[in-house]
Amino acid sequence: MKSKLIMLITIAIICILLTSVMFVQFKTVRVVERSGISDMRESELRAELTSWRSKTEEAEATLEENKKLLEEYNKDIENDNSSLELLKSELSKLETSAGYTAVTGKGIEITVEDGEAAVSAEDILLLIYELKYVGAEAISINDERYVTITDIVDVENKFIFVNGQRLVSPYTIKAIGDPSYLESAVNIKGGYKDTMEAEGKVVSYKVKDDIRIEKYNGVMEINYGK
Amino acid sequence: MIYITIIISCVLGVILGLNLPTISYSYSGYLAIAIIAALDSVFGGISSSLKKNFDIKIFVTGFFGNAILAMLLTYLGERLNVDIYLAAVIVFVGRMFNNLAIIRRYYVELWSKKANKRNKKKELIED
Repeated sequence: MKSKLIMLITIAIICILLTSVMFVQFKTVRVVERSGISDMRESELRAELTSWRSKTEEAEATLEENKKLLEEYNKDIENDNSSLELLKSELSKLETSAGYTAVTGKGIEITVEDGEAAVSAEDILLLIYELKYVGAEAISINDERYVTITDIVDVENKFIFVNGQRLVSPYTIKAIGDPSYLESAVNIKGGYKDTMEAEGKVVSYKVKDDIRIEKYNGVMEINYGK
Repeated sequence: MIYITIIISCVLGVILGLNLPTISYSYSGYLAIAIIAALDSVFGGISSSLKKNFDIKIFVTGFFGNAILAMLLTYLGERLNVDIYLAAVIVFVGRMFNNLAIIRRYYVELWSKKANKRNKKKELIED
């Protein structure tokens, strides 16, 4: 009786085990069939795997190469950028010194007025030369920027032409540079101020921290120079 | 009694198998060969029970032993790059056919004996 029961239980366990494993296998095979791999034999799969592996390797090598190229290009771009920056800064520097941009900075503002005698173009020119001598970086006369081709001439002893513009007294000359040097250029003993006042012209000046000098509005044309 | 047990446990097994998760494809080959070995044991058990020399110990050890041995041989074949599982399949399936033939003959003989008896009875009645 007991041995029969054991036999029944054993057979039951075996039946459960066998059928459950079989159905797991059926399910697995069904799932794999859907993915299409099951159509291939193992050797085919191996060949496929090998070919894919070599393809992957090739692709990786190409990727590596391309990465290197990309790095090189990036370096080139960086170099280009740095040279471009250099050119830009050079250009802005040149534009500033040529008078194509407005400039602000420390400087001096000098007013020259007619007194007993009228102010002549030479007086203005003299002042400009003095200022240039002490290192003025930008100069303007009544907001007319002084550039390389600026003309300063008397017209009928009534007004002064600067950059083709008619100016009358008082003349305000702005200059950007070292304020102490600029100041000394004007008020040094026996210097510009003294000379002018001796001639009967009124000169006053003010050292300022933020002087703005407008850009040159004309066009510099080069027609004859080669 | 034994038939009811087999049917109930088979149904339970089906339900259990359908609810278990699928296994990875690389292991399904081992499972397949184990199933073949187990089926071989089952048919062997049926045929031996028909011959009246069924032994539960031999059946159980054969069931698990064959399955495990078949899986191990398949694994070894994979390591050696030889398809040993083919040999296992041939042996097990061949034995399965043998056992099926024994089972078939048993029932055919049983049936023909019955038919003979009936014929004899009929002859006796007719005579």
